[in-house]
Amino acid sequence: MLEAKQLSKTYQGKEALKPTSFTVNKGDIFCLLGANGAGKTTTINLFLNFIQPSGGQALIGGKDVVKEPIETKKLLTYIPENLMLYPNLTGLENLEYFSGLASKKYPKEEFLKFLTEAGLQAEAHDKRISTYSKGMRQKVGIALALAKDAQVLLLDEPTSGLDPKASNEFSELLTKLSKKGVATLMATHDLFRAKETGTHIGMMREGSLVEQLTTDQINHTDLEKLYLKHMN
Amino acid sequence: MLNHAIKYEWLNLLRDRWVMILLILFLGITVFAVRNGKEKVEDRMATITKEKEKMVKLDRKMAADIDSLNKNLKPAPEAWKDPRALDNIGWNAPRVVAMDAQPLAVISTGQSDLFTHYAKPKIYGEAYTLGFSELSNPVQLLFGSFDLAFVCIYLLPLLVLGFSYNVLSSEKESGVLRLTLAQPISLYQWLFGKLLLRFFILTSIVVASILFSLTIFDIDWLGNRGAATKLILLVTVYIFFWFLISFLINLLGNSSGSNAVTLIAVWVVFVLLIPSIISQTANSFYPVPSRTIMIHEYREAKALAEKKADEILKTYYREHPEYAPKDTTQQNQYSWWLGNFAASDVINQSVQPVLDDYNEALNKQQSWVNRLRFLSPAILLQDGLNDLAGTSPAHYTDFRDQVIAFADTWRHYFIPRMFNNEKMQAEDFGSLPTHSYSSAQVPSHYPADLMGLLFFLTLTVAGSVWVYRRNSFENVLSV
Repeated sequence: MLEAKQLSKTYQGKEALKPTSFTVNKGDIFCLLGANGAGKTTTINLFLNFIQPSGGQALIGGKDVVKEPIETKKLLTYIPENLMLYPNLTGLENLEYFSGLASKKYPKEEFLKFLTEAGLQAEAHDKRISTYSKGMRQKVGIALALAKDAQVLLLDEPTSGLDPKASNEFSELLTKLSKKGVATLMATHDLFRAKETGTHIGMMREGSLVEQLTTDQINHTDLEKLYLKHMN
Repeated sequence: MLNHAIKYEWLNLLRDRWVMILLILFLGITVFAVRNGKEKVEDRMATITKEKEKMVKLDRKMAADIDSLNKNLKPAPEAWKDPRALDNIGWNAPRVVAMDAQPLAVISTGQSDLFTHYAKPKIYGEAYTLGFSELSNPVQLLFGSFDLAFVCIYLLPLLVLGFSYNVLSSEKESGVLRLTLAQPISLYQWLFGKLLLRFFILTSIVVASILFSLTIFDIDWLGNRGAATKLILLVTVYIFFWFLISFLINLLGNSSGSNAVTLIAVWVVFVLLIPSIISQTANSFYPVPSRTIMIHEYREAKALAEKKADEILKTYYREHPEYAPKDTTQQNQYSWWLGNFAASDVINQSVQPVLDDYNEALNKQQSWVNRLRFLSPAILLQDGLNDLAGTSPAHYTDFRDQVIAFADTWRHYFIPRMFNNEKMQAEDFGSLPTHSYSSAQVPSHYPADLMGLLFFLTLTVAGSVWVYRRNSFENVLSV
């Protein structure tokens, strides 16, 4: 569903991402681990077509994101580290607005159902985003994924700064979506969540994907050891 | 997609307190500006009406006096008070030549605070050629008039810029833009849609404010739909120009602060700098000779001619044999005047070069400004509004010409009759020449002003396309 083919990005002579290839299939949750500046966000930005690749291709559903930006964006939902929405609109209105940008229209009850499914408490639906916590905003992002019927989820450190309960809820939602067949690419620092939630793990260092493995191959302790080995 | 984006943008704006405050403020300002304009126009019309009433009253009194004198009901007054003497009518009962206010005069003060709106040309004298400047309030000259034109030219662009300077940058800075651009939309379409909506909202509010203000101050804009439509069209194009400037600057993808500074700089250049440079250069390149010197020369020529009045009169009779007295035994009661009439031709001839210099310098200044007005949309709007209000320099020049022409008509009504030693009769009051003001022959600047503004629009569109082609997505998003 999601494929990087020798994908690379160079900023003014500096290689932010060296030619990298990996695939995320339907139902996979591919967790990118690595220190700050390792190239995780660059990879996600390349899939979003926010930046142009210096080499290779980023494919979503088999389509090149550079050549068909509109088509590929119909398939994906993006949740950044800090999902920002329009503070003057309610959670419901924000959801309606962003779904509408993707040409998804439902009756109001459907949207409310998505919000509930994403774990947002009913009394918050009609409150303005300015009163929302970060975790609540992330849930609107998940509801958007549901509304868009997204097949691809691009997550950039979505749980950083969330309290453990919120973080856990978020992980459960990801698992739920993955069971529906959503392919997820998630950049994270959270080794524990990566092992718990992820199906695949990729470790990045200085722009290279130095390790790829599936989570059932490794336990928590070994994962941490492997991570530290690559980082040092 | 666009409809959808517009719907939520509208909701967003509705809930923004500042936007609402700004718009209510604008309505208040517009009402105040139209009130100021209305006050000035009412003053102007009141003065004209008063003068005309005085004239009618005097006519009636004089006609009645002539009647009584002819019926010997009254003793004959001294010659200089006798209403039957033509010179008394020509000198003491001049017609009021007035420049009536145009229906939309309230929108722009223009040159109306520099010039008089009525003149009373007499059978003799320089007053109508020279006396066209009225003293005006120096404080007002310093600050300009707070009229609708001022609101539209100076304040409206600031409102537009305040409304749009951060339309892209604020979303970038708050982080919403990342989520927006992760949707299947075109950034430029989306941004243009946002600005278009803001343009529609602002324009609707501006138009509604203007029409509302005109209505509450009893300006018949419905009866003058043509002029009102032209006004709205001009202001709308001006607003659109500023929105496009903002679109262009937003496309560069800079921060809100830097957008604000850039846009204010553009405002300063177009609204303040270029107009003042044009006005300064007009004065330096085509200085107008001193009006005092002109009046002085005029009076010198007059004094000289008056000294030689007898001689001049003789020459005049040779040139105008039709005026030569038929009955030389009878003394013409107007003989003193006849000499002066003859002299006035001589005076005019000798002063003509001075007058010409003065007028030519004024004309050159004016045509310099006329040509260079295409350098700034603000001047174009001012010019267009003055045109609609009937307060442009061209209107005042035309009025001056009308006064001079009427003065001539007035004199030529009396001169042959005075040379014939005729007397005024009560029924003659009905046949005295009258003047009615019309601005029909003033060449309209409006089409050129509108075209000029449209040209600026085209330039800005071309600029946006250029920036769009040159600019990469990465720049806008700065990831």
